[in-house]
Amino acid sequence: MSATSLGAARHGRISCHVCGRLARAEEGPRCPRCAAALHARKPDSIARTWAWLITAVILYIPANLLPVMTVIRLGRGEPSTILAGVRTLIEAHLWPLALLIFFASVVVPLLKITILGFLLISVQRRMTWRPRDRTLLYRLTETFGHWSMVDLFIVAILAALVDMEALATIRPGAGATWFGAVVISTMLAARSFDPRLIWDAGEAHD
Amino acid sequence: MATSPVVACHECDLLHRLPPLVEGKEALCTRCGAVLRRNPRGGLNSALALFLAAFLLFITTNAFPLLELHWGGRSGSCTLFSTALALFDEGMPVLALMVLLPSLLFPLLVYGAALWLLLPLTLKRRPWHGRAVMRLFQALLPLGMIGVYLLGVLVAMAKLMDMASVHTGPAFFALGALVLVGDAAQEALEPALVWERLEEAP
Repeated sequence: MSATSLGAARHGRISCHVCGRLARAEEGPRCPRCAAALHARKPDSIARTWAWLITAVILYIPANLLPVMTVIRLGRGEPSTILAGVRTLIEAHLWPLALLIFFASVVVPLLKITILGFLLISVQRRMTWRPRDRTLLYRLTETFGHWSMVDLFIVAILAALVDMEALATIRPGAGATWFGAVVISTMLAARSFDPRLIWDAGEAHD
Repeated sequence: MATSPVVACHECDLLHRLPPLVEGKEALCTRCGAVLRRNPRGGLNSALALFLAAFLLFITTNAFPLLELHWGGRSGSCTLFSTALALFDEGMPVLALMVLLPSLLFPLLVYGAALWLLLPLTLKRRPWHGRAVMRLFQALLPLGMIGVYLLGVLVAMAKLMDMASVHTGPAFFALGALVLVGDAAQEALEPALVWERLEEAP
């Protein structure tokens, strides 16, 4: 397989983000094969990604402060935040599960925000540091981002199952909705980031 | 032209001239390692078979309870749908949608769209509104979270095990199979192949 040393944009070509067909810039604003709008780079990628990232950070506060669920037993309600849920699992000696939930609900969203923030700064400062590794980091955030939703599903399943009036009832908390919003924000942030920007700085130097 | 031998990497924009791919092989970007194009074994026929299986498993998963709970003489059970419904009943419609969409609606639409396209394509016919349906398919594909849901079921079960008698319902194994088959179906479908066929069809 042969490759040129420059990207499509430098050759006046635009790749369709939907069907992959390569079009010449002069062929018009729409893909000749699938009619999707053609963009050399995702429009306003940096601005939009920062917007979603900042949104995610702001939403992260109520997501962790507000309880994700309340366990009502024998008339007494016990609200539980994400971290409290992890602690409960530890106390029950369910170490692997505690680690899993901690990872999915705490580590992954924070890592995603940090990595995307780093990628944005690296692109804005036109850094040429290890573009391949940075692309790998981006791929990682895209792959594991949605696993953070597991806590939401757990809350939903428990709320649906444990509905036994006086004996025990589990109710979902507002924190769960905020947390879902955080995950969605980070997913949108990853979606609006254009990894090709990582490589643009290197090409400008050639 | 039906095939486009020159493509740009969607992650680093480098141009490549694709050689013909042997079945089962994939082409990687020489600069950043991203997958440019795959040629899955069995082609669109395999993809159709797998998506059909996934669709049937999806129906099975939703027809029976996932988990059953017995506690102090009382019992409860849940299905994929009832879980989301419970959230609506609790007055949390936004949360309900956050659970319903990725675990139920989006996977259903993905399987439906795949069948909508693959059934006619494998019969050498033109699917109705093929381009629009394919775009919908590609948009919803990353938003399906069936595997995450399965994990949620497992953790919920573990959390309840100490306190009550909880066991898996018949849909549990269907869900497990669905995760595997659904994944295989996705791997078996190379979007570029579908786009080329859509372009060719009269």
